[in-house]
Amino acid sequence: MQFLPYHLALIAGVLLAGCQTRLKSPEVIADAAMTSLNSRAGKVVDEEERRLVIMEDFKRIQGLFREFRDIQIQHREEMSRLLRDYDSTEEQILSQISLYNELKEQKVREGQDLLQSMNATMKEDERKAMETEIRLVMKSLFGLTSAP
Amino acid sequence: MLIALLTMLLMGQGSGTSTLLEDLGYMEKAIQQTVQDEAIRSEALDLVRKIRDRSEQYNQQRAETITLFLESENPLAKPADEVMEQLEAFERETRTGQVEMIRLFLKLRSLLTREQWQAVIPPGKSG
Repeated sequence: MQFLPYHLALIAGVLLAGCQTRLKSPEVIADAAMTSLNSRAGKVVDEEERRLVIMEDFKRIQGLFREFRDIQIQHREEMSRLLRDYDSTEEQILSQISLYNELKEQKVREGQDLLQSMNATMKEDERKAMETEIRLVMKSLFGLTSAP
Repeated sequence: MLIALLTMLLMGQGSGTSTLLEDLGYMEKAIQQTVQDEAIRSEALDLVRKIRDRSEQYNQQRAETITLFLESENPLAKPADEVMEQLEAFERETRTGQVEMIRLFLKLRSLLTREQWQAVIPPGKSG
């Protein structure tokens, strides 16, 4: 496997993402991670036609994360309002969480479909070449904390 | 694995209490300064500790589940049934945790007067 520019850039990106985990939301980091992976996939897949399909899938996944980020921002704002409101009820709060969970599940299903499509497009050796990068990127998400 | 992690990244996302959880120290300090009744103050501080413990437990569980997925062979493939079961179990526990967390917050709120709650709750911020 080629080492050097892509790996160095990726590692730098991962370290940077790791340093920023306290500052950035998971969706923003995932967005950056997908950009790194998309770039790597562009190098790994040597056939122009399949490369374009895969890179397009990555772009869709990024779009999905952005849509999710918007949903989450709205949810956090509404939850912040409800939790600060002395008169809000448990029913109101749980109803908001339920709505959010439904939207989240929808995005998960869309994401799973896209990833499976990408999996089907890649050849075995290309998937192998992507494994290290994917692990590095995903490990950068480790430090993230969130509330249940 | 990537599918599992994507699922987890989205599914594992919280109930929306995170902005308050980041400021539990602020809440503890404010409770100590604002709540004069010793019994209520003690109970309120105990609830804040429970909220923190529950949150830490959740984060540990989440990290452990992600670690398991990182060992999967094909990062892009649909996870094995076993992994999907783990994901579903994690999601179920996340939802249980959401309700627990909200109830702890509401119990804390019920201990305090309207004025005390306004003083204890951290200043609002975006995100």
